[in-house]
Amino acid sequence: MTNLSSVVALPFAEIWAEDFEWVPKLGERHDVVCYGARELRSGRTLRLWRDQLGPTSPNRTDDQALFLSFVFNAEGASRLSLGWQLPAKVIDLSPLFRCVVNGRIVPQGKGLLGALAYYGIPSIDAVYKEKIRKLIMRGWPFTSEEKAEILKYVMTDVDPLFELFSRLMAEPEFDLGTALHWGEFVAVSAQMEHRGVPLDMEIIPDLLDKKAWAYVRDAVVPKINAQYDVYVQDKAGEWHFKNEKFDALCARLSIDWPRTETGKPDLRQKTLKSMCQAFPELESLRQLRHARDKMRKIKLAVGSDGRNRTVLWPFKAKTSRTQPKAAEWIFSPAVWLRSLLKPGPGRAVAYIDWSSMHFLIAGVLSNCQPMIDLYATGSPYVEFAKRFDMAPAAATKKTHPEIHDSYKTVLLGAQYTMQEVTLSQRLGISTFAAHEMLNQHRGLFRAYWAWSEDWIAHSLDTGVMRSPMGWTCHTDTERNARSIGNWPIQAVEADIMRLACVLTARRGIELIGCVHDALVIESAIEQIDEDVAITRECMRRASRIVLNSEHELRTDATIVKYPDRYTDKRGVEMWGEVIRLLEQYHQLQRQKDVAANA
Amino acid sequence: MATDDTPTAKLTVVEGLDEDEIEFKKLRRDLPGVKGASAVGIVSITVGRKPEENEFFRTHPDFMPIIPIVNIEVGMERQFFAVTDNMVVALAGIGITVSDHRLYMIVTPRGAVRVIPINVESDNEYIRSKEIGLIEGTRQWVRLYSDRENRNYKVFPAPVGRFSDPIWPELKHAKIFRVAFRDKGRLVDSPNHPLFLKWAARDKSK
Repeated sequence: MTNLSSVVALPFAEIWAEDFEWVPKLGERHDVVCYGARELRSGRTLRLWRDQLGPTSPNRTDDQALFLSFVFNAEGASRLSLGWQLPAKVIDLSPLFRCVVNGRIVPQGKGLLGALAYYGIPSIDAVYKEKIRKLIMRGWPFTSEEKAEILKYVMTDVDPLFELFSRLMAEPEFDLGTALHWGEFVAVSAQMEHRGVPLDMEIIPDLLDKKAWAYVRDAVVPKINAQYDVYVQDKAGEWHFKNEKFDALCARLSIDWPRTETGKPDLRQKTLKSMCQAFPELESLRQLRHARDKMRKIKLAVGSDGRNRTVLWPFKAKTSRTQPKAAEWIFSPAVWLRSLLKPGPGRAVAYIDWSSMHFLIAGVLSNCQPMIDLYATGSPYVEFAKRFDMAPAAATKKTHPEIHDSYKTVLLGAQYTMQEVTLSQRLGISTFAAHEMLNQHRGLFRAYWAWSEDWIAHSLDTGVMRSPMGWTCHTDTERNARSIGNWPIQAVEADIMRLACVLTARRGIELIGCVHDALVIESAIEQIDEDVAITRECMRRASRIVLNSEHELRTDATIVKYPDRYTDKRGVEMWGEVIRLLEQYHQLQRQKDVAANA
Repeated sequence: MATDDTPTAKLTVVEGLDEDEIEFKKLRRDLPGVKGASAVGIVSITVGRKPEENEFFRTHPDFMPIIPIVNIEVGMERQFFAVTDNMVVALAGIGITVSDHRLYMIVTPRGAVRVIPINVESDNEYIRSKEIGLIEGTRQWVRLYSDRENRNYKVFPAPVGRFSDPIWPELKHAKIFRVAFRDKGRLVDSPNHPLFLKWAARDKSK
């Protein structure tokens, strides 16, 4: 007999386990099929088909009722699509399980079946689960037999949750307050998934149209290529990127481009991104390559209401960062696509990010006073450049953004143990100068480096790392010193992010997305300034709590009001070109139509 | 699109944050104290004649023991071997001179740790000026520059604020000595020590 005494003893009047089944449709709100739930003490069971689901939750959702679920952002989004209230108290067993096994090998995976197998709890087999999942994905209509099967199936995801929770409670990492905090964050994630990000529906259909996009992809090459001359067209009219021409371009621009082991230019996405920070003149080429090579088709998840919705996957990364599927998410590497972000009439969107978050967190964790002092200047990257006479004495981030960007590369790259050859390539400076910069970094921020070495040694010795808000990672599979050294900084960033989301949501602000160092909110135009101020205050407080009161992170806000659209400076040129080509495409289509009619 | 970086939260709306802050602070735990964890892995410290030319360094203010040392050329390199008191006479018997050296421990801005022995009995200007630099290194970051005309070292302090305070490995003085000399077989403590036997054999052959 399973011992659920620890769960039964929890101070809640009702403890529910719940699960929804819904038909997934890219970008759309959940099309709920059925709901299954069971209350622990009374045994009360709800097994309801869609036509039995009313306008309000069939179970109490106040703070006396605790809801258990596995991946609650899915349950939360289903509740919201039905117009039900989200429960006040939620515990999502998925992050609790991920926290237990993070950095360890989990043969059966980190999903519900994997968690049950990990603890030896009986469950349905994966083949049956897959069969029913496919049946539900097929969508409406369902026969009466299928309905019975799905209603039987939904409870198989509900019934083991109590026992799984009791096992998770027995883990040394478990803390009820932390579990509820994480549950609250997942509920906020569900709200973000449900709301979605408003996109420009005048342009979206064109970009999602295969023919129009194919035209743009091909036509954008000669235009952007004119400044670089790295593509050549074959007889069939297809454009091809040529390494030799790229080498010639680098020679013309005096760029010492990193190479692969075989001697070819290293054109991996991360290398391109990093090099473009040092050489912004190559940014359009990077965007072009991404659009041609990675985006055969635009896969943004856009609902019929013109909003970008995708599963945000909270806690997915080892550092517990939220990690949505990049191709479906507007805040993906294709920064030019962000110009699609456009609030509707009367509405405004704000992108609020923490300034130099990684830098200050590193300084605070290591108690490195020079880092903290440099952050206090307001322009840490520019101030660091001034130490090498690479920026005028009066320079600031606003007056010299290019220096800010380049030295951001230096400081963050150095933290990632970038070597002088790479740094010299990134900045277009001599290896000697890069060596001196890294020496300067090591010398000035000695406390950080000493702490980092100690952190790596301690983590490998004890086999575990922990963040201030309780996220843990084992070093069983994570033995890369660079990753271990960077883990606490990213984990603290994620701690701060979760807390800021929760604080902001509690103030009634409409969060529509979060990136690792930024929150995105939406509200009425007349309300946006006030909401931004509140959000920034929440973000400031969140950093203060996690960094233990002594230090706070600053924030920057970008507000976009209808009819304006969001723009990322890195994608402006590519966006402009795409729009021009779309117009050209339509013109050609109209001419073809006229010709056909004639 | 407007940008703004001056927070002006309306306090009436954020008052509740104080309660939230208390609630979440209860969940927060300090990160584990990791200070000194990496020092456990130190199994060797280089012993050298002088700091790297023109490299800034700081000198440990407390670690300055005086030790009998044999200072000889091995191949192209000058090497230092510590000697226990009972071996000084025995070494003299086979023609090996032992002299007292003060050991200084230095650290570079990048964290390289090195022990520099200084012959306290020498009146060589290079050695004396090197020691002046090492002592100055206990107070500030300095570098040594070889002044060949005057046959000594010049000592240059680093600009104020260029480097932060030095971080020393969390090692007891006895362990510093152990990993710098004994664990590398560079403590001659008995007539059966391989080095003593080697030197004695060389002496016999003369």
